[in-house]
Amino acid sequence: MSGTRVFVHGLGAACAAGEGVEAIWTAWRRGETRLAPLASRSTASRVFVGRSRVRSSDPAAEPPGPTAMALARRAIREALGEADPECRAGLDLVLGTTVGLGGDTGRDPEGAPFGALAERLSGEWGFARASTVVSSCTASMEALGTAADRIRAGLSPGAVAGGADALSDLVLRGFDCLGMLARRTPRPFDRERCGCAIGDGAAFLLLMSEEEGRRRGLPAIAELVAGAAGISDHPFSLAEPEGNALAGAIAAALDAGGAASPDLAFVQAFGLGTEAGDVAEANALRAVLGSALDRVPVTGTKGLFGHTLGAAGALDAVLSIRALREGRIPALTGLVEPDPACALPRLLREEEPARGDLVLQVGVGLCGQSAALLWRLPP
Amino acid sequence: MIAALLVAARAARWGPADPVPDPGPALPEERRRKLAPADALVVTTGLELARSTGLAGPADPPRRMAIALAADGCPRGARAEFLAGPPPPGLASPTLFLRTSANFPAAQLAIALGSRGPSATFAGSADALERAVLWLAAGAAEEAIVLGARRGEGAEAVAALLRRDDGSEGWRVEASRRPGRIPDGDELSALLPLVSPPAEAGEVGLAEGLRLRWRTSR
Repeated sequence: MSGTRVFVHGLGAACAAGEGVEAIWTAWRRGETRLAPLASRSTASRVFVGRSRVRSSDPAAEPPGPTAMALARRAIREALGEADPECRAGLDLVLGTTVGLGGDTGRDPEGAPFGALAERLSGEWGFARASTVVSSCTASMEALGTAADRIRAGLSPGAVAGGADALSDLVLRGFDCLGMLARRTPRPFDRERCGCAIGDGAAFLLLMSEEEGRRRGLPAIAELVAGAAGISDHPFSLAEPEGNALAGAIAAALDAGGAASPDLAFVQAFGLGTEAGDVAEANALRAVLGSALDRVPVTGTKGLFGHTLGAAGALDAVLSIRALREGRIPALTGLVEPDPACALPRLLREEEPARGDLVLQVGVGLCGQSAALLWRLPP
Repeated sequence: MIAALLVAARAARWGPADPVPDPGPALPEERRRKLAPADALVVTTGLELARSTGLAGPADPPRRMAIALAADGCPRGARAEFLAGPPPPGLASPTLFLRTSANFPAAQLAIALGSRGPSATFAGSADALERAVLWLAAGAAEEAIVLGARRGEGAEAVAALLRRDDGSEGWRVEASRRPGRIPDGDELSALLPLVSPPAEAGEVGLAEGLRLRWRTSR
């Protein structure tokens, strides 16, 4: 692959914590969880969820459509920002999702295939090509990695990449039967963890090659240094205790990025909030980063706006970049007393300054899926 | 511009009798029963290809083989089956829920082959094939298996294994296909040149900017 570097030129996001990157960032810094109880026909009892206000926005304010589409429109519009139509020319859309247009009910009344959400958005915005990644909860991380690799290979000048998903009967019922849903505010990596909250969300990043961004006059706000995706060969991949697949993805991303663990300013953890998931993630980080974890802070966002499935990785990417740019790492939302079983001595209970310009973001998904991305401030 | 050079291609045909061929010991019965029919078709086609190309069974250390899956439309059958189960507080089936995840067949293939390489699942076969080529080009994997299926009535699957070809700039491709009618323009169209490349050397566009060139040894 060429030595082409891929830069971020725009960020956009919407979720239960707010509409727009600024609102979500402020909520994260304040540690204000935006999760609330929901009595659902899909779950055995009341569960905590993260419902976005976009879900109930005035239908006259923008074209009607499922919640995932409304969220995606909001986030794409923000990510494109001041890029005028000429600057957008030739861009791809690479979208990660798990439920797509079936999100509001999970029953997919339109019989829409997975690619329908990206195709409809692409039609509205005039993207050159629409692609859909459906690798469970790491889908948007893989969408970002795929878009970056296309740019590096010269297949595309740039892309709007990220993900969108909305609450659904299917997911609530599914996570409930897996025993993963929280009945109170989630507390990932905490002794008193109680599972995860499912949330609405969408986030997108405008990616371009260094040359293309310069040619279009768009300033770079971060660099996507490297990415890797993996899958587990463990027969109980829902809770592979050693986290081998994730460890492989982390190692591959660091290797591809020519980075070493001491270079990291912080780790943006996935932090699902289940015992098996948290321990496996900690084991994977420990296996690759080793003693560097005694120094490198670890933070996370699931306690803020919930697990947004196909949007989760892109939301964490947006907030990781924002934290790098602000030079501040907000606390891991919901953390009170870290679980010693996780062996992550630098889990953040309070915001602290960022020391460095490189962040490692990790993600895991159903069926053993895992991913890692490396972000850095531009020179 | 990325171009993959197909230096050899071989179509291994399945017999038409069994709608879900027995993949042999690589996928035990208790695991096969967890798969929806269309997913079983994908996994068994992939495993048959692996067996015919010397990749059968788990490896130690685990393989760095990429798996790129084209998932087609959503797994409606699996979703409907899961949602038709006992309502809360009844016990829904975790296995049925996992089957609704588009990447479930990729996970089953990874388990059967003992692979921890990169993997992603896409809605379209052109995207899946392109992803595999990009992983190989970047050195993220030594070989890649690309799979796709058309669901519903007349379901069929295609699997292709791409390996770097020693002494050339391209990858050697071996492919298998569950026989059946594949309408023009459907979700498998990008994989078809891998299964049945024309007799003469040629070139085909798979996606914007991505073209495959091949020569065939058949």
